[in-house]
Amino acid sequence: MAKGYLALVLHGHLPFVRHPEHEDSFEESWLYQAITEVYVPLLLVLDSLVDDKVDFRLTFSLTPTLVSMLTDPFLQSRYLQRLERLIELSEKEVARTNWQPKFQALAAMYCKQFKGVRSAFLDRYNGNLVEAFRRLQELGKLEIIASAATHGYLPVLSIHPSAVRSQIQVGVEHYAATFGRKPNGFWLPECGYYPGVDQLLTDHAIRFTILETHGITRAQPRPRYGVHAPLRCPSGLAAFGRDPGSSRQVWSAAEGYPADHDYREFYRDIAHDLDFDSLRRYVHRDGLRINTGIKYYRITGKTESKQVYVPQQAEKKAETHAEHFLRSREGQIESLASVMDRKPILVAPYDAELFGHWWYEGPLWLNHMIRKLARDPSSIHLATLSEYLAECPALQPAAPPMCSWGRNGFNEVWLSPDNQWIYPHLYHAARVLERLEQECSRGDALTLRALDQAKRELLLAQSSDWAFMISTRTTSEYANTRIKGHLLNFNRLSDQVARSNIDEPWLAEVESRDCIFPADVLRPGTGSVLPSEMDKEEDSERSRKPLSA
Amino acid sequence: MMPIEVIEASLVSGGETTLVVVPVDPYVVYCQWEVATADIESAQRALGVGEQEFWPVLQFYDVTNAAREEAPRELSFAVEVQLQAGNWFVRSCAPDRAYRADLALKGEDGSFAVIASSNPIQTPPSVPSSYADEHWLPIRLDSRQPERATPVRSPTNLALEPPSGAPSESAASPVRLPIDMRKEVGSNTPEAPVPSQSPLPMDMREEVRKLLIQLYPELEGERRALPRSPLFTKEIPSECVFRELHAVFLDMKSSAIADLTERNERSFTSGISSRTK
Repeated sequence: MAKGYLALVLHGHLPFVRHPEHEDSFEESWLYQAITEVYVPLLLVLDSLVDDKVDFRLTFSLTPTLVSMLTDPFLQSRYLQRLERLIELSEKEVARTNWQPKFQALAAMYCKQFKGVRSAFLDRYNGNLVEAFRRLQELGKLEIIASAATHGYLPVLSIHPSAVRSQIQVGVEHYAATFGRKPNGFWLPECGYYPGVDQLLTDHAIRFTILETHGITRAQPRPRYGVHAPLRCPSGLAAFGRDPGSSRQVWSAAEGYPADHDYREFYRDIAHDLDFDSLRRYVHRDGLRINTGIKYYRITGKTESKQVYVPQQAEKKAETHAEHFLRSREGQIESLASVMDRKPILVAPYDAELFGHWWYEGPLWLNHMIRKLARDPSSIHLATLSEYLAECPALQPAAPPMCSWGRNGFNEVWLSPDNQWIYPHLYHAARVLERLEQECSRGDALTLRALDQAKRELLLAQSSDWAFMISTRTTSEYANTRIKGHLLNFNRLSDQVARSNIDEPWLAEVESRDCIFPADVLRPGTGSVLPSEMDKEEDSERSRKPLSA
Repeated sequence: MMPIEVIEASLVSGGETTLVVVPVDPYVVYCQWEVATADIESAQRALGVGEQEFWPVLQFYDVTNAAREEAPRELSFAVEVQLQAGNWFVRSCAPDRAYRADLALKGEDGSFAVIASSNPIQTPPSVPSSYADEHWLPIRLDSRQPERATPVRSPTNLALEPPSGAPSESAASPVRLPIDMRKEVGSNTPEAPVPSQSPLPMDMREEVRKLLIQLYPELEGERRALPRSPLFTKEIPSECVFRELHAVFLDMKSSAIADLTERNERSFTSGISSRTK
């Protein structure tokens, strides 16, 4: 009998990066790297657990932007082209390192791995990774939770409740359209909570969310069990809190497992080590040395003189760390169970992209951890958050405060002197959209199309990723351009709607570029208008064509 | 793609007078305003001053204890700003307080004319609450929960079925939760507090207190005078009594409630993130 539960939560998210206007897009490579290094490896681990009849539970959030990209035939096709080039590069590396056996073994490992990913992507998943996740949910192994439409940072958008409502409503509708059921849980982007958002989530029949530790510990009244039992927010929403111990062990770049010296060094990619001529065909067209995913060194320590990566050693370490993680959690649960009158829960949320991308051995660690838990008797069992609530539905009512999982725990990452300029425009656009939606809700098909596209543009401008990039000064120029581009499109569209003077050819162009969310997701219950019907036809056409490289 | 400068020039705001305040952290708030020229002129006229005879201020009112928005407000602090800046990070707030702000023009004689009023805000607390009021309510789940396509055996992780012959959990725990899982959220029916599922008493502190009162009856009057605290140890009145009682407390530590909130708060590190892309 379990004395307590461990809920692993993986948050899968990438901003919407789709650039058909560029032959080679640097930003799209974020998606392609994540497919190769994260989503396919994780799915293969989870599928192998199912095949081996290992029982497990996992919570996964897949944001609408990520789902939209993973199901986009254009991006799927481009991904395969990119993967082919990567396989070609790895084959060349096998030949190039002929005189260096240690490096050649690694090159061969990558070559085999990339071919395995291609085979899984094409044959096992038929290009549709979302369907693979959905199937795991149907098997009861995975609970997929919803998230905001474009990962808008809700505490700062809350000045206009209509903006928050829109992020939540589109996120929930997109989930229902994708997974064929309504979500129980909702991942608040960046764990950004503010008093009042619980009611908006409850209005959409959401039952639970997850907060950073201090969102629970600083709730009013003081929680009796800290983060080890969820709270009942004023609206009735259950709020789970992140367990600081399990988070730090896996997550912390300084003291967490991924920093172990035997693990693969993320920053020593051959894109930066080899001469440019040998890489020309495999890096960005403009000469940008984008990471290839082929890395030969291990972390080694705080030194520039890195040692060669030894996969067997790293796998052994992943197994040791899995064992350590479990023993630590068991100790926690034993201690908590002795002072709690209900079964404690440890909620451990991580960015999914940590597993495989930043932490190459992350999927291995997960595999070992789940198998060990299933094999050895333990006081701790895996659970989804819905299962925990079904077993322990009596919650302490308390009101969590504003909080996030960003630096210092509040809003400063997404609202700083560097990125504050975004918000007056977002607030103004939210006001305009709200007014137009009231005035033009019974407009003709063309007006509704323009209004839908204006909504898409505003949602895309609201992504928390842009403010994050500006604040952390990583690809901030791209972030600036994206925000301004979407706001410009919004202004032009809203102006055309207000004047009943819609430029249809230009509208069609913008629709084809920023083609996220079909109309029936944007305006549920009103029936689809042109784009979604067209999308459906195109989709059925595409579904008849086999994916190929 | 259009050059950035052209894009920036094309982004226009609403031209209305507005003041928006957003909490950044427990101590800092972000204020952003737009002011129509007509509203400045009107404020100037109200003050009876010329162009160089006023300065703009953000006035913050602490409305934490105001029962209604219309209740009298007390000026908490004011910050001089530059009107053209359009935004200001104000670093004078206190944690866990509710504020409203006004953007005003202030004359040399101290009189002022309000140009715009903000939305209300609540700064987050910087420490856990000392107020403990424990009761428990059910969360409502509906039939969506175990929606599974295949008849997966009751999840082994949460399996509650005892081995055959053993008493079932419901038999072992006489108190079951009276929860109506079909009830809709938003129902007006008041929710009854739910008794504990466990045979353990909910509030172990009461048990500890009772025992301590038996041992140290003279402390009872003093204890009653103290405000309720979530920590048993914090309710101990003096250093000397603390030492005596602490020994008893240590003896009973196996059954006493640990302050899990405090423990979580101590081990919490904000902003641990892998997101560096």
